[in-house]
Amino acid sequence: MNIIFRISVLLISISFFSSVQSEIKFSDRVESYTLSNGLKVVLIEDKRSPSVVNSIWYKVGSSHEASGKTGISHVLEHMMFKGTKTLKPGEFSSIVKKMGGTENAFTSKDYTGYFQKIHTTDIERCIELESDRMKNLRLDENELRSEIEVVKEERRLRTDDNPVSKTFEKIMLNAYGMNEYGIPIIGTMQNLGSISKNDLENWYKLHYQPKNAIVIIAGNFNSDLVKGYIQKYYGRYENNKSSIKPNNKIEFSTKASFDVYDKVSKPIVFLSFKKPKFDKNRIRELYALDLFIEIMDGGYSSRLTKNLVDNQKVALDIFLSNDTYNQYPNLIIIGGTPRGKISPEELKLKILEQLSNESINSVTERELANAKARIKANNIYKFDSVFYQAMQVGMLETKDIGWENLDNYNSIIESISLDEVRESASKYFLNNKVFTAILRPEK
Amino acid sequence: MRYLFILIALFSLQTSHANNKINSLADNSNYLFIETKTLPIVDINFTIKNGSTVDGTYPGLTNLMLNTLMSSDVNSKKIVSYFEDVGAKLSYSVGKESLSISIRSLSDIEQILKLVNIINLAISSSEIDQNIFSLEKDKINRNISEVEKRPGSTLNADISKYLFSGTGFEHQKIGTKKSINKITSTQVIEHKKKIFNIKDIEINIVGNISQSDSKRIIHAITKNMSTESQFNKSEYKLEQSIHHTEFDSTQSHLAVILPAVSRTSPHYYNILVANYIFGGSGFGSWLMEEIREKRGLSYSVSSYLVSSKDGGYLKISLQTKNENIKLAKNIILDQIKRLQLFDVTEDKISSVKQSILRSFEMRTDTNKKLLNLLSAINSLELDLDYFENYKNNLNQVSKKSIETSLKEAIDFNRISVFTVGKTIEE
Repeated sequence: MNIIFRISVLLISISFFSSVQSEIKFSDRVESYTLSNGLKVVLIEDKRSPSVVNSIWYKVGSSHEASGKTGISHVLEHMMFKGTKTLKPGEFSSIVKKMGGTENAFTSKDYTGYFQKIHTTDIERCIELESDRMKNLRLDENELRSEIEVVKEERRLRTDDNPVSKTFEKIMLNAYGMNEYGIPIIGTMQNLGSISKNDLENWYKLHYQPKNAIVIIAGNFNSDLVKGYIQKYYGRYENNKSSIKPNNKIEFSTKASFDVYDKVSKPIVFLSFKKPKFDKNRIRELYALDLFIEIMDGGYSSRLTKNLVDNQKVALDIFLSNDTYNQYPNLIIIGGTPRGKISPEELKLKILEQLSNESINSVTERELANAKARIKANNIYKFDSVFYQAMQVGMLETKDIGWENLDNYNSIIESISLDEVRESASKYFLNNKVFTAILRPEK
Repeated sequence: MRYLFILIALFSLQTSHANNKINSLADNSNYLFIETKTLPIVDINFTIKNGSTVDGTYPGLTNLMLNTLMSSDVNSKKIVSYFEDVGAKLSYSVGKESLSISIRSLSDIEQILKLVNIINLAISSSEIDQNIFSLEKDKINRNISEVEKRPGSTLNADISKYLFSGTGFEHQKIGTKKSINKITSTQVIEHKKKIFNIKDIEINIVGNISQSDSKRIIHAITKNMSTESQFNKSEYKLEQSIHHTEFDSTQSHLAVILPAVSRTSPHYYNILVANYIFGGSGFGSWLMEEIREKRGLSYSVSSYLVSSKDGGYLKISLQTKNENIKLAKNIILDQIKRLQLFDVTEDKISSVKQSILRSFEMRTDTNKKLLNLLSAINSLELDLDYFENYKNNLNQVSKKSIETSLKEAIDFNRISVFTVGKTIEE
């Protein structure tokens, strides 16, 4: 009976998704090519509305920075709105605003991105504007000093007055030091104060080059016209002679556990497991890990919440963070808030029980089928946003992982077996050291 | 990120797409529907026009009721499991004037109906699992404690408490610990019976679904629901207040509030354009220029026109390091004087109107945004030819009409100021 039930659930899930899944693929709407100067172009067609997202992604983020100059990628992102040889500070934003468009920018550990969402008739002007600031940025000392103060306020808002963000920052620093993913995106307060105009100019020249960038345009556009505009405005640029060199590693020591005291009402437990950088040769293992993580924390009915919050009543909430495509070693972080009189140490043990050999081996076909169903449905929902389509492509392409993997992901996930899930989970959780941080209410 | 808060909320209703036709269903203007066929997705929202303002003597009752309800089991299985097992999404929230349940699913009507039936069964149930009830209380009590630990949420709590003093809007939707601890499961069941009724429900559906299937969804959610509305509307009345809460944080949070207009006021469009210039449009607005671009005082500063059916206000907010709060506040007050004088050219106003109109067609490029639009049209009782009306009303805005509205609709003598942060002696 149980076997029949399991099989029927699996079949229902598969047949349900097979009818809709085949209809939406990036490959049906993406065209990609590279200009002779090395600039990669990805065009994603979606004509549901007259809007189009024009974006450019530079392969530079905090993980490329060096100790002493942390936060420089993010500061440069801010300064990119402060004028070029032909535009006054703020004029870029003002032009987009007049178009009725929206714009923004973002810096991550791996990339810096800029986008405008505009009416399709304004696409040429936006490509021209975006290409202009790739080459002609004008950095002014007074503007820089003022903007540094803005970034400091951003840091106070997002990190210094936010105990959870501050703890995440400490956890990454403890694991990797001021290297790669250990470097905070926003930079340290001390480093922000020491970033000079000269530092920024060098960073800009080094990283803002055609060969280090990807133009991604998503939405409603005429493909031939847009390709012409890209050639006209970006094709004219050559790369600088300078090449990007890896930073020297900063020595650091890692504690197996540490406490943070801050303004929280209840303690929060953070357990971290180290994970090597993404490797295409281990793609099945990494996607199997994604499935295990989905089974553990893919929703409110997933294992961690069901077992620790609902059944055992030892936690108020549980969270799990993981990046599938990390280009440097990274952490899988699992945590939660103990409930009632449960201590953080007790909750830690309870979480680790969920990652034990016994627990991993008790994962069922049904749980796997449900996890696959959620992942597949989510991948369809992601197509609702034109911007998010560009975002998904950008997040992979900046790490030199082709957008084609977005489609491959679905088919590989579908083919992964329960044994592969158990094997991968054992590798990353069972045979791996755990690092502990506990955020406690300040005394 | 260069700017955290893209101030599109101001334009949350300014959305249109030529191909998206709004239909009412079953001859009921509370049931709205847009069919889109490009993606195999259906988005559904059930809004009940009863929020935390109907908590009565138990602040937090509605929120505790909804959280308990949605965390419950139906036929020995958690509600959310029914959704997550098939990749569907379930979300819910309580606001001051309404509560909302939203579903996103792939467009399989039989699957959707099963899920809607589960929600209906939960609403109809007269039982509460004491374990779930206790867990939800614990979670809410923790959230209440966390509000007191954050300067931003403390500011919001202060605004509710002092600006809406003596009305149903006074308390935070999560309530108080004292109240939450007192509420019994019987009270929750009784409250649920009163909250969910056909008169107070609005249903919005967007996606790859036919009109007839949408009607099946409406039937599935409303069956067995009471037909009587039980609550009276809470009075919307703003008090003037100057209030500071001392707080050990690196930044001070500031909110300056001016009584403004309801969404249906004839002055609404004039104030909308004026606010766009003042601080509602991010970069290039007066507030952004004076606070961030010229002086680097804050990462985010904005002016948001909060308009409901019965009233509204202009909320200016920013965060800055404690040492700068006095300076920032004075600049805001100076800019309010500038708004009152409104020395702006017709050309500028014309350009702003163009920007807003140009943004029209781009504001509904996702099913999610269309659903939000329907929900807003529904709750504010706006016309179904809203898009055309909006454009016509905006086109009539002029410098003169703005000046008149600023004089008649904004009470510049009743400015409220709220701050949370550490006082730094000069």
